Amino acid sequence: MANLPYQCLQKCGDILVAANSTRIDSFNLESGSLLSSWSPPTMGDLQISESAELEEAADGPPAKKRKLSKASDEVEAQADVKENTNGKKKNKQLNVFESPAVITMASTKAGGHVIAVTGEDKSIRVFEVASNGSLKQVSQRAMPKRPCAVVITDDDSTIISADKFGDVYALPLLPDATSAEVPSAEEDSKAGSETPEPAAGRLFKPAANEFTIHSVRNRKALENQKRQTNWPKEKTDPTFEHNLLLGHVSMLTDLLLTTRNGRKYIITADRDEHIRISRGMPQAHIIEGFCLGHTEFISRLCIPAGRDDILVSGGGEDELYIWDWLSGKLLSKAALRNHVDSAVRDASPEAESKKPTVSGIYHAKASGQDSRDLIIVSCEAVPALFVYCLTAQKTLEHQQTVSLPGNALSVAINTVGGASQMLVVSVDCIHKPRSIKERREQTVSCPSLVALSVTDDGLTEVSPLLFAAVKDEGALSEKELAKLPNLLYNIENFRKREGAPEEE
Amino acid sequence: MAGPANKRQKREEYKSTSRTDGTTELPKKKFYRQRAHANPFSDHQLTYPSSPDAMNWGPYYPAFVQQLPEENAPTEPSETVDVSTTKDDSTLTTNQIRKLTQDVEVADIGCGFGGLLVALAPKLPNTLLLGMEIRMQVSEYVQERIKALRAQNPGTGLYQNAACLRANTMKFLPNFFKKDQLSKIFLCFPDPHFKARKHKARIVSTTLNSEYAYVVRPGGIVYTITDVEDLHNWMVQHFEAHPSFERVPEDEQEADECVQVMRTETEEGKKVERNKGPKYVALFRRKEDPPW
Repeated sequence: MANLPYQCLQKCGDILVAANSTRIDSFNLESGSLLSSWSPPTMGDLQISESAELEEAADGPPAKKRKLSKASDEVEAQADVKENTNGKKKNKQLNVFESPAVITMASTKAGGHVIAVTGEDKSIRVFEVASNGSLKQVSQRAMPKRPCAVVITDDDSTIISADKFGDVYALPLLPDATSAEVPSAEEDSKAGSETPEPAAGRLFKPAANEFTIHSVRNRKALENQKRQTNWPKEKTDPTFEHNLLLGHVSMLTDLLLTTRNGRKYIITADRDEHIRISRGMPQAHIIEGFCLGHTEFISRLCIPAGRDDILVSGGGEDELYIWDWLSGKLLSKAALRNHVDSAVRDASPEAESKKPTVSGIYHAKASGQDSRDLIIVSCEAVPALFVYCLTAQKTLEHQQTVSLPGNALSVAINTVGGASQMLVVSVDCIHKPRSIKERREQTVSCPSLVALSVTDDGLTEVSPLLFAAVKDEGALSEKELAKLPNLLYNIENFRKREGAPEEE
Repeated sequence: MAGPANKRQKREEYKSTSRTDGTTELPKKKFYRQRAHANPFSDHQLTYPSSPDAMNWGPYYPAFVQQLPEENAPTEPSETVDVSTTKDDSTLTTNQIRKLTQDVEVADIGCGFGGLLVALAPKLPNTLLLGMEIRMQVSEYVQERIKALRAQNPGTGLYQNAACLRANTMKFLPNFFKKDQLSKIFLCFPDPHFKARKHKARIVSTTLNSEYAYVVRPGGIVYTITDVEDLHNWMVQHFEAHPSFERVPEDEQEADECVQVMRTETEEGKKVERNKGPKYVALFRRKEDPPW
């Protein structure tokens, strides 16, 4: 009777691709009808069709399996570790049996492919989208660290992935069929790998020696090291082609590619308040500048189409920032917190005011005489969208607050017949509005997708029948529900904790 | 692990007395010891400017603060628009910050107890030098040391051009320095981070080199020295692989007066000397950016 909410929406041609936990549904954007559903193979399927899976994902064993075997290796290697660490490892192993959830998506301009990042196995999966909406996974590549944001270059040839460790990689949309056969060492050097490891099996030689070690304790440790023979294998890089473009020493939160004056740029945002402007490939190692001024984490960036000199950024702050990104100049700020507060208070007057957490910034063009540029903002655990008008003076004017039947999760924007645009918003139909944990009464039904049309006067809800045909799931397991808050509301975690203990 | 209680107490006592009695004695290192490793990825309670324009350098280089301009001097047109300042006057705005007569040009990243800084300051009297250290106790020591040295040399202006602050440069270097601001960066005896899975914590990596290239002007030099051969090879490999840097040839390297100072005056350098350990030096010049 209930459905899991869609945590990610992505428009791919005239098809809407929506991820709901681990499943990916496709819809016809015009009619709102469900076209098809894709679910990852379960562990049972995996074992049966292991060889088939191997062929399909030409880039090595399925990541889930690999992680599993790694975990057991670790357990063996550390057989003498304390009981509780062992228990932790086992827990991790158990999780592996569960299917990983989609955390972000991107699609090609041509509309033939959609890519989805699954969090637990750090994989980038590429799907072929047929015109009838059916999805076929054509590649699955496990990245070195969990990707946080992915985009596809304008020519649809390359995936750019920004990860939790601060690094940005470029990888071809589809892995070269031959690359699986290339020995890893050669691949690594070609990829300009950052950490050239000694070949496996070579005798371990400590990098420290008697000259570099001064204290008695460290000398002892070195002697022990020299005696030790069973060195655990260091993690090796993936064998598929992936090039390190740039990196922050901070968790990356968003990534944009843009072109200005015929030059390509890569824009990256991190948890430590930086927006970095780098040159596009192949000169991504050159930093052109920074947009500095945020005082909390940045979670989302948006360059409005057709206004490509402007960058709107938002995160854990009371305001949205509007930049002339190429010069790094802050043009203006737009208040967000008071609008969020009043939206929350409309529903529950006693609600406390707190710093907003921006979960999405989108650009839409209104149909109408002025064809205004609208900036649409969603915040975590807020059942509303905030609509701003981007003025000619490069400021944001709050135009409208659209309330939704549940917390806004993700937005996809569709251009209908060239001019007028439509917004599809996924809302949290499981939890109560404004809450990330409290569940709704089972009897009250809530749509998981809402369609809005964009006009100069703002957003208006269109036929509630659109996207009504969401697949029925039957009963949801408590286990699935318990995992939801982490999946749907993870941006607030970027906020730094006050009074973190200072190490001596 | 925290040391014995009386150790901390003695440290507190020492600091509170020396701060108040206006002594010009150099601080004692034993009260400022801190474990040698700091995790560059964790969120320390750091203070750092939101951007280089927001940095108030005045307290660090009091002798180089610009004289107060006429009361209603026009604000510089290059200044960024800061809407918040109109509503919020609790924070120091860019207009209130007393500007220096010149910019900081030399950074000693991971300056430790400040040996290089103190040795270099008299040799480059017209350049502002900044030591940056992630460990709070150690950076405090260097600040006290510079304060004492300035007090010991009144009227000469000696050591007025050196300062130290606590910072995590791996995360926040662009918060302190503008593009092309620096002429020299020193990376002396950095933490080797032996384990391969800790290599991202090394102060030199392909991706971090891009940030060094951003703050160092073309022609500027990054100095590295270490006693760990493995780390030396790593640094050389990563700088040489970065298109913005080229290695400085050995004859030029040995002719550079800073190299000698780096070999003999850093705390680590002296320690390695005592242990008769090797020292590996490599210099890298920032190249011009290719056309774009």
